Amino acid sequence: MSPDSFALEVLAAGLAVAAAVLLGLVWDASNRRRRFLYRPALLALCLISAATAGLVWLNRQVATYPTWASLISPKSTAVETVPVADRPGGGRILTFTVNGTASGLSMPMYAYLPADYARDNTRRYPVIEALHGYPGSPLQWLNKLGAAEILDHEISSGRMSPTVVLFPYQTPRPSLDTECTNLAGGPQTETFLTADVPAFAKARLPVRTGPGSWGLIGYSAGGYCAASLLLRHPGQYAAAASLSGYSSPGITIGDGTENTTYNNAWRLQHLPIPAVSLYLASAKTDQAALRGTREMAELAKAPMSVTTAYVGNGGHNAKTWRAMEPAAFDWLSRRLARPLP
Amino acid sequence: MALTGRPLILLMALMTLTTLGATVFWWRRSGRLRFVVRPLGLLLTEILLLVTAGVWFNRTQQFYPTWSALLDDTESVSSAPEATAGNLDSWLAGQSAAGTGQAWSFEWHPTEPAQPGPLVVGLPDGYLAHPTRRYPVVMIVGAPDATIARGLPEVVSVSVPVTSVTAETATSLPRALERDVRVTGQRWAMVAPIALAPALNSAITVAPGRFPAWAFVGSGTAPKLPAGVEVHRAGTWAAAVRWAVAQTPMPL
Repeated sequence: MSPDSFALEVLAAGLAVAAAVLLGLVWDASNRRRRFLYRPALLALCLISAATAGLVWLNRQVATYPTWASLISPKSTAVETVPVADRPGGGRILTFTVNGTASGLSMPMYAYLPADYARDNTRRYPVIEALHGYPGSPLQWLNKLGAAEILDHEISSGRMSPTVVLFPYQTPRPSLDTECTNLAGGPQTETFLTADVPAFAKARLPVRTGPGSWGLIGYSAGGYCAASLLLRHPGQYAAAASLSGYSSPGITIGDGTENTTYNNAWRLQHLPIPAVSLYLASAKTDQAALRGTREMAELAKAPMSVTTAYVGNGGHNAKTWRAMEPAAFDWLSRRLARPLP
Repeated sequence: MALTGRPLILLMALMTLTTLGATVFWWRRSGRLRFVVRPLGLLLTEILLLVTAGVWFNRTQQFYPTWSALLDDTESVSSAPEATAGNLDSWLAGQSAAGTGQAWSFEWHPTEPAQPGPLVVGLPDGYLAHPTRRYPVVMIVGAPDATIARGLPEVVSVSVPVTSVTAETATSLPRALERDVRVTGQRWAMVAPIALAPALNSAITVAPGRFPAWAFVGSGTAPKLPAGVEVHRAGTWAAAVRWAVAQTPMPL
């Protein structure tokens, strides 16, 4: 029973109900001395079980702590993978641990292999790195956002070419928000995502190697990450899709670069603009993301191309990102080089 | 009452306190019903406390900014542009060779810009058999042998002789091709002699995203192109075209 399981949520809710019923039943039972023991204990149990039910529900939404190890040892970098079920006729989800030599980080990664690979394992596919939000983990892509099912559907319906999609972690510790940056004196997540993950994929997976065949996608903090990594590494990625992303990291990097080179708006105003393609999507009611989207769209100039997409309803949540996903993946596929025989 | 407004938070907090007060008040006054009233009061208080915390957190993070965002289905973003037929599709269907669905080339005369020399468009196998697909383009400028552009896999090619190269070749000509043939608007590839590069590279800024891949043939110094543009130096035209085709997306 994992910390993000439905069973634990039901158990916690059941415990909360049981504790309340028990407290009502035994409040007046027994003698005065014992009452001083069990009344506070049962009251605490009521509150703790109710709070636990709420927190498990929240963890199920963001998939930040998928295992007990990630919860119990928050300072540990041993973020564990959990098995993801195969879908008949669909692409496969593989799990790896990427031991990053450039960054010094070692983190798990999920990879989507299109169903096409089972029919022809000689092909090399374009690649999309999918980045999660904060708090969160790649499992939110696979569970709440249904990325594998959406990729299966878009590829089989011909709106997207067969593509390998990588789901790396961008949080060496569940509680550490890196925004895919190299923190001064801290984890070098940008290096992990732009050097170690591509090197691992090129060595172990059937992927193409040229920058024209690599793209990025992300939601929320991952949306900022996708746009930031695209602007910072135009020789590595050709296109990126930012779903409800911001124009700045919103954290302190440690050397002030959150206001300059890690600030996408600042980069577009002060540095040469690369010839890359950026897709910006936001719900019109998600004010912070909408501001970021509009700011980036206004600042982006040729040779960069920008496509914007707005959802009238929605917010900063998984339901909205799931609705944005198919169009964003299709858009990326039209801007990445084809699979090669 | 707005989902992210202060009034809702205050209301929920007030309801929590009221329920808590009522539970305390009726704790010893509910008689035989105490076994129902006590647990119900406790649970209701807990639920309202969680809802109050949730409403406050939702206000800070804007997960669900409106009631409709919470309760209704989020509208989807259209997943693909509508594939409209190229102006020449019906004419092509009447041509016996093209009508079979096999690769075919034809001399193209765009309405504008006016071209001093002949342009040849090459269609891939299945162009007419898949009327909903849009194809990427490989633009081949100044190739000594026009047959090099024929029958390329899953791309439309357009061959432009050196004599036809003008300032508009890489800018207006693609727009004209978009009208006449079912082609995409982005991620085309350009193949050209290196000597023509300065005359063509304005396309990168005039139509961002259209030409991210350039294959140059011949010797000489390639112009400095913006970061993000992939440049390939090829020894032969065939190698340049092969590389260029591989940089384009699949027709979707």
